Amino acid sequence: MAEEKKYKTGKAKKTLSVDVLKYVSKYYIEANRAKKKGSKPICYHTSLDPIEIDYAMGIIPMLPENFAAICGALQIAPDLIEVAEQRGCPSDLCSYFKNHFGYMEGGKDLPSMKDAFDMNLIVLPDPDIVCSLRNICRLHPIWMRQVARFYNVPAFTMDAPQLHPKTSLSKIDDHYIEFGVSQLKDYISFLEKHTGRKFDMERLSETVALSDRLSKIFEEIYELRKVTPCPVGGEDLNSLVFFLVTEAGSQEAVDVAQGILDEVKDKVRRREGALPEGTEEAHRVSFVGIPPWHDMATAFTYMQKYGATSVDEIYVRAFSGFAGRMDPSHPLESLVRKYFFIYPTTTEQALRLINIEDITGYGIDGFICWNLTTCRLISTLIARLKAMYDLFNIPYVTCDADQVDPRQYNVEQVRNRLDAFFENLEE
Amino acid sequence: MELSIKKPFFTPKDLSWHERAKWWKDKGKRVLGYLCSDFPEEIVYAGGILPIRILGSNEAISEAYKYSINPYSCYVTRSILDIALKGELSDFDGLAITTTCDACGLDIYWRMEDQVKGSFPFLYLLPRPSISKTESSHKFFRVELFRFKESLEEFLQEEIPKSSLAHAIKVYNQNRSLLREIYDLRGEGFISGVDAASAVFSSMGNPKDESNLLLSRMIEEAKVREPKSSAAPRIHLSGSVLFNLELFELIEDLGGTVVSDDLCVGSRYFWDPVSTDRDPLEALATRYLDKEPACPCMNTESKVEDRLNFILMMLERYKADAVVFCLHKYCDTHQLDYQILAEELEEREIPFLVHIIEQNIGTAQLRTKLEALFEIINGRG
Ligand code: SF4
Ligand code: SF4
Ligand code: SF4
Repeated sequence: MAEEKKYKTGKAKKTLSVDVLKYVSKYYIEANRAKKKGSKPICYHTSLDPIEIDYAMGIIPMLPENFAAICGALQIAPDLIEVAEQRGCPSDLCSYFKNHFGYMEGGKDLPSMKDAFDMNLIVLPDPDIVCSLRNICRLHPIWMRQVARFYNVPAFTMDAPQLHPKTSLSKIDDHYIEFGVSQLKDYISFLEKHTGRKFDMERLSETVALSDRLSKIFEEIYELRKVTPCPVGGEDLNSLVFFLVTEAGSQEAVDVAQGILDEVKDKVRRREGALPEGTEEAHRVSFVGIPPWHDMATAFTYMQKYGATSVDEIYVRAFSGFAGRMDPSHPLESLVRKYFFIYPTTTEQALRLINIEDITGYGIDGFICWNLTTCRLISTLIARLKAMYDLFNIPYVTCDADQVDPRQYNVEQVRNRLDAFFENLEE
Repeated sequence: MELSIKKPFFTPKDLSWHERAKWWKDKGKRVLGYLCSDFPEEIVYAGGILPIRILGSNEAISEAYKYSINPYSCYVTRSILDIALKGELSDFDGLAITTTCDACGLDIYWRMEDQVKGSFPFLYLLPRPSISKTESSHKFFRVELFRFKESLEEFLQEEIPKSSLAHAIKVYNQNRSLLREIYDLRGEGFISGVDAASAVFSSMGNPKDESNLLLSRMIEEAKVREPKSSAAPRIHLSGSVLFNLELFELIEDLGGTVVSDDLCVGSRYFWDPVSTDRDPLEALATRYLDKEPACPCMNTESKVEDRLNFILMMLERYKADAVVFCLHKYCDTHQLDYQILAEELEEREIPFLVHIIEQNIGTAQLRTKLEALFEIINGRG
């Protein structure tokens, strides 16, 4: 249980003024209101689904993964996970999934949930439909199928096949695009059938344009982080993922992101870094993996004592799309390019590009790999990256930590590892 | 036809990887390893190459950790990597990998490409959609099968004609129907669970035409035998890969018998035939995507209900009393599907047990669980 933890894990110090939780609560409140009134259907998704289509059709996308991350940050995930495990959920399974499974299977009514959610402000409204595009992990679509069974609602699944290794991202074969477009069309028919709403291609062009703008702003923010001192740290960038995964295609996300970009530009102009005043930027690191939402302080603030800051996070960049800009005049193809060719389905070259080339681009001294033993995808990615770092003699450290579940978390061990890593860098 | 194969019915324990490949290579022919029951071997066979299934084994990992492999991946994955990294596949000309689950297919491909450079003159990653039963998925996969065939032709420096593909499909379908017949005979007590399983294991490593001769002989011999009484607890095995026959043997030791399964080393490998009334590549694309029983990791959209129906059909066909799920640790997809299958079996009052395996099947603990299950079955009379 959370209160038995030996070490009080904590929140990271912010390096930006935006209050993400305020936007998150607003989003959840509006979704619950719409659910109650029956004004807009709720569609559950797994991350990196083409939610621009939902926005174009007036459907509200909700992501149980995002919800799980919030539960992690609020330190209530362990209670929900315990419910899941009591219901026979294997403990080796993804904690995001277990968190949601526990929530569905009775965790929703736990007293700790009610307290933590500040009078029920952040409550997941029940879905009317569910969807999952398998482009990240194999668990995603099965998760949504289980949700569909639980709530007895229709489910739709899409699939992004692995790119052939000899394919380059700039020359994706036609049959990949065709397969993607055909599935998106089927998704649209599914939504029309089950929500009674009409699809309008022009409206989709608009949401795609907004989504592209959002990705572009994030790219600009990342470009600005190449500057020394880095104006904004990984602690903030990670929480901004909410806008990328839940609000891609909305005007609000673009407005918030624009405000953040202006703030970052301003900081660059003033040469103000992410580190506290008076601390010189001595090391620049790249953060690999899903952050431990329950202890962002150790993941990001702790390194400040070594004058270190995280200047790049593959996790965040994965959400803004790898395969180039979107073209609103070809909205479906653009969505395929954005969502079907992301890290896990794309080629090793892309992985190298975003990892190794960053070393020079961002002036990175080393990698902090946050290993997730309950996630096949992340643990495999990190194992392979380690082999690559060894090959190129790149400094790295690996810390085992669940993204939302601190029950097995050994914060002293993690901090000792970070100490050793930074002491080595200093040598 | 005279048999030339090295060892007629073998289990993976009986032959090393070198032995399985070498006798065929000594005839001046080529060998290609493949990793998953959803791999269209027919194309390889049509090119005169012997496809051999690399299952992994329950030997301890000795090399792979040095290469920083993922310790949190299933033992099948870790073991295959170990076998390859130790050089045990050095007699293989090629390795073809279907994109499977998150820790397996792709990672193995890149490890081979990066860390065992040049070990396989032909190394291929076959992108396979995990959506089936739709026109667009069939179309997509047909293009990928065509590409695979082209790459193989380039490697062989000769064309694989349509007629060879059609012939391969015929031979493979014959193998499938013979294995079904063996399953039926096992259901009636003419063949033991262990023997039927070794027929499947050897079919995954022997040339199919010769394998078919062997299976036909096995069937002829079985038919004239006295059938064993069917009073013993009759078990359906569910899961993915088993490295060897230990589990089948354990069940027989305890007085039970395996009468059916939905394993990747069982019915998932051979149950559905390939249609012969259309273009061979199209037929292969359709069969390998749509086949039953589906794998939850390769068919993410296929409803668990389909898998349940397949299991229920098998339970009825072979009059099985109970289901034994043997699932690999860190195999998320099978474990997720299990949750629902268990619920459904419980509702139907069908006895079952679940056992998580890793390097070994954990005989001692499993024995106790099986004994308890058998008591329930026997108690029901
Ligand atoms: S990618 Fe990993 S952490 Fe994310 S949902 Fe899948 S298993 Fe869970
Ligand atoms: S479990 Fe699925 S991916 Fe693994 S070997 Fe069987 S069919 Fe292939
Ligand atoms: S499907 Fe399961 S058993 Fe097969 S390779 Fe993947 S994780 Fe392992």
